[in-house]
Amino acid sequence: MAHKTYQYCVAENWGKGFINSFESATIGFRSFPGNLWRVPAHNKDANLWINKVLGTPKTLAEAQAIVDAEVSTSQTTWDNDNVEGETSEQKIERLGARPADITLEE
Amino acid sequence: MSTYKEINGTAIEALSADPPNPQDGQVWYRTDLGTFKTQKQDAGGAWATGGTLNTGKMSGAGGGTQTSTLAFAGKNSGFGDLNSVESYNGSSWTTENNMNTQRSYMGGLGADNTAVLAVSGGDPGYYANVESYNGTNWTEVNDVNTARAGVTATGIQTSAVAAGGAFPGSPSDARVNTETWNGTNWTEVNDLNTGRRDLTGSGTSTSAVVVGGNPPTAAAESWNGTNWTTISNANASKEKSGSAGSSNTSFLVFGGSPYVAATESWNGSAWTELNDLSVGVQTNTGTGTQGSAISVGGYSPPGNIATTATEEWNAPAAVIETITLE
Repeated sequence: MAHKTYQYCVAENWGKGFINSFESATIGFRSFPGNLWRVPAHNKDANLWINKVLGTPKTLAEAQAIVDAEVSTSQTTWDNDNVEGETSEQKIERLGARPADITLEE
Repeated sequence: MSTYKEINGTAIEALSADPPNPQDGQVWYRTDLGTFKTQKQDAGGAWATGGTLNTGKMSGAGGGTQTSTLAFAGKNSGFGDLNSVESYNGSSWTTENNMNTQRSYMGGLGADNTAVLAVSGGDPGYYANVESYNGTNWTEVNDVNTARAGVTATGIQTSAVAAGGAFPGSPSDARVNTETWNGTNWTEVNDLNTGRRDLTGSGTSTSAVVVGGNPPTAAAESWNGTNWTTISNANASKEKSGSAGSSNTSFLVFGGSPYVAATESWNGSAWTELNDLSVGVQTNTGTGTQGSAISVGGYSPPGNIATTATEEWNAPAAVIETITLE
């Protein structure tokens, strides 16, 4: 069985106190669309943080599905946001690059 | 065996008191104490989530301190320009009176959330407008000489400097123009060495640092009130980043394109990589100092959602320590 490097959970950032300085410096967070958070697996501090924020654990497949849905929505929004006569370069200048697919790591 | 002078290029100074502004790692000999001393900067600073904005905001500007910040204008998730304003008291954000002109990619500066200046900006278009905030209302003041978007500005409401940006009709999009503000008028002064837009800068009107910009670059410059001097490049490119700082020897830069979480500090002689933001973000706004800063808004993947998130940076102050020789 493959060794998991990361674990995922869904938690809404409520602002002050959601991630404190100690957690930020020691855990190594990465956030993804859909209020999805990636933290190290097999890590006591990360586990304590998930409990603190009442995070809902997600398997890799569940987490990927959340991200895919969010990215797809953003891509559709981007695709449908057009100005007549605008070049692709001008569209990127106006909106930024088309949202890219995101592949989560185990 | 190498000597201190061979390694550092200077000999150890013999002083009767600690120097007023020692550099990190600098060593000196206290003649009155008979001991060697050094300044040690604890690089253990870290970010923590701050209060959440009422409305997501990217490509805006700000002024003030970590516990007294004003965040204004910018863009919403639909990439529409905003003129909305929020103030922060260190705990929560409060909606304030709107600016007169909605815009983004402008310069922002101020001593606290009741004394702020919004400088130029645009996207689409270019604005020369400058607005001053007194804690309640925004007032149009004298325009900058050259309208531009992607400009950076730093200082206080009565004494500031604005540099870089892009403006129409130029042979190149990225500009070197610098203007200073005396509380009444803007004056063209000596240019940046490297033209750029979407750069970030912090400090005062007489002592500041700018770094990065577009075209993507890690290039940095130091301002002494008269001239810009090229300094060492940051460790990585900084475009649409946030920054904070109080002088050209005390500067912090964080975030930027593409969704960067990296944080770097400049101490007057070198860049140091510090702990990352919890969330990689670009077009964020920064205010505060090297030791106490806030990153406000911006956007993260998938890329078109203006975030309400903020993060606060706190770093222990540098300390002077006695060196024990064995």
